[in-house]
Amino acid sequence: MEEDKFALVEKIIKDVHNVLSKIADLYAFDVVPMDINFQNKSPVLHLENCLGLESWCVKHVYMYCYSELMDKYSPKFKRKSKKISNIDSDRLIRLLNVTILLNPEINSLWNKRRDLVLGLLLDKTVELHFIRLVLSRKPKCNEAFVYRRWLLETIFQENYERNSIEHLINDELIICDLASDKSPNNYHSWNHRIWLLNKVKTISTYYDPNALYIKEYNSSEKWTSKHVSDFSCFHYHQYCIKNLYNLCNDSWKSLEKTLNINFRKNLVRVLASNFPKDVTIQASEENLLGYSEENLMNLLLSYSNKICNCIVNYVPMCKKIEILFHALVLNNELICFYKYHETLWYHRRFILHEIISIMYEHFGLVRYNGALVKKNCKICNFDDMRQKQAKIGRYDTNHIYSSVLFNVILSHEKQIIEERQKDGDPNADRHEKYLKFVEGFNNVM
Amino acid sequence: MVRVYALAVLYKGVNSATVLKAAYDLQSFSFFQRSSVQEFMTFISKTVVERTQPASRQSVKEGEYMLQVYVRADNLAGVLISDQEYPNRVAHTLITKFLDEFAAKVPPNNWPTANETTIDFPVLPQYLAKYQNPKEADALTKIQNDLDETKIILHDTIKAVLERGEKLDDLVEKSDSLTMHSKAFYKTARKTNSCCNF
Repeated sequence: MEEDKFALVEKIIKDVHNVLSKIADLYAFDVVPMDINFQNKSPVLHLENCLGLESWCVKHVYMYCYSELMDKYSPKFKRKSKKISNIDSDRLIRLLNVTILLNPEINSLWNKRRDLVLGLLLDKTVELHFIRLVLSRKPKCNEAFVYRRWLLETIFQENYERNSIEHLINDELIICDLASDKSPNNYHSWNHRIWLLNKVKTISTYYDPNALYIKEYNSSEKWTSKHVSDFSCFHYHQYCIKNLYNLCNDSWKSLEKTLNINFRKNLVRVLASNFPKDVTIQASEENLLGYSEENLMNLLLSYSNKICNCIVNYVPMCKKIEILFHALVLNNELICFYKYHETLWYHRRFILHEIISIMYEHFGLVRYNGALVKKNCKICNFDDMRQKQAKIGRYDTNHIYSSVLFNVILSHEKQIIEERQKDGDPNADRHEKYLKFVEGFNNVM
Repeated sequence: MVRVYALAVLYKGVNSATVLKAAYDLQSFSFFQRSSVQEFMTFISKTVVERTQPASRQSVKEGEYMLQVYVRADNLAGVLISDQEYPNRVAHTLITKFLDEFAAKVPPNNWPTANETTIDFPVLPQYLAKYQNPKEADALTKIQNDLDETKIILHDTIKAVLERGEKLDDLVEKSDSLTMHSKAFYKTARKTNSCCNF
């Protein structure tokens, strides 16, 4: 009986190996539920570029391969020379292929693969294909992603010296898309994407990241509009929003063109419908469209009483506000269309928190232990030594809470909270509490 | 994740329902599962339509999926299979829309005797692609935004739709529209509790 099993499993390993020899064409692997061996033929299926293994043989194959790997190929049996001969390595690779495809969560197996790569017995590009197969069945396997990043570190190094990273980046984005699509809330795939973009940032001398930021922002915006409960994607979207904060003017125009949006128009529209009634705004909507960044910021925030020697740069501040308001308007639409979705409201908290932080930053304040305190400017190191007491007085908080921007936001939020409360959305109440008690607006709402 | 997997037009006959036209988008399923998943979707659509009263709408939840069914008074039925995030109201508006178009294109006296091969209704796959994003789909149907007064009955599982004493496992066994392969797939999938939990 044991010999039968031995022959059977060996045949299966051989069949899998044959299919994997054309690995560049394969794009998916799966275990096909099949209780018994119907037609006494090989359980290895190869159809339309997909590799399949019938489930009745999985237990036998896995136990056999796993025990051989752990017994014969484990470190304690390696001789001092630590060299794996070529014949051995071929056997090891075949076993690893089958075992990892069936259970990719075991790190020891991936480590054996790492040894082979370092010993130049496995090709890195082939490995990338293999990982793609693994992810097609288990898109949330973090070990696969970690191994992929390990490989990419060296591949990137070799390639950017040759200026050929464009296709590498595209491949990675495709892999992330596939894994995110297969499994909702796939923290690992979105994390991998962030890692990729951070990596691109470090090699920005060879590759301009701005076009990538715009493309990623666009695609994450579309994805979040369709997958409204995918909080991992929203986290990625927030990362993309932050990437846009420091775009140069040319990239900014390109961004507006890609999204087909005029940010300034959008912002002005929201402002105009929410301007506080007791303040007379001397400018019409049309005028506001033409305002310089500095004038618009001064209108919204009034003059800062921040005691600091730095020159305020209004252009990036204005751009940040414009992007955040665009995100806010989009969030409004989604909340009204997809009712009762928590994730959308949490994203809203992020947007508001960012806007409020910009406001505080402008006034040289920061929230600390529940109170607003003056912040020492790290850039010019101005430190008002006379002000021993860090907590700021009432005059200063009034200054903030009477600013146009603050009132616009407050009125805008009150409106949507009321609207959603009428519809019986419990998230609206929670949002109100968030603004009152976490952001600290209890006294002014 | 908002997704539509299938659209189908059926005729609710006296004893059983027949599929007149169907379109599927099964890209998200692994390759080897697709044919079984498709068979299941057809099987479930027929089963639920057979157990729905004429002139009523139901939305049946099962696992991660949502089955939206509308059986008209003239026994023409529409089914939309989506995931749970697809808004029910939009789904039912869309079903009404494609049923209206179907009724206009295919004369009613054909319905009881026709089947998928004899019917010509090529827009169904196009609609399936268009309806993937419910926000855009909603814009398409803005003209028809008042759903006729029938309420949508919600069910939490398919069990709730089946008659008393009926079990899904038995129905699967007895069905002659499911291949042996699919039945085996159903049994093993149930055991391992993997996806495709119908």
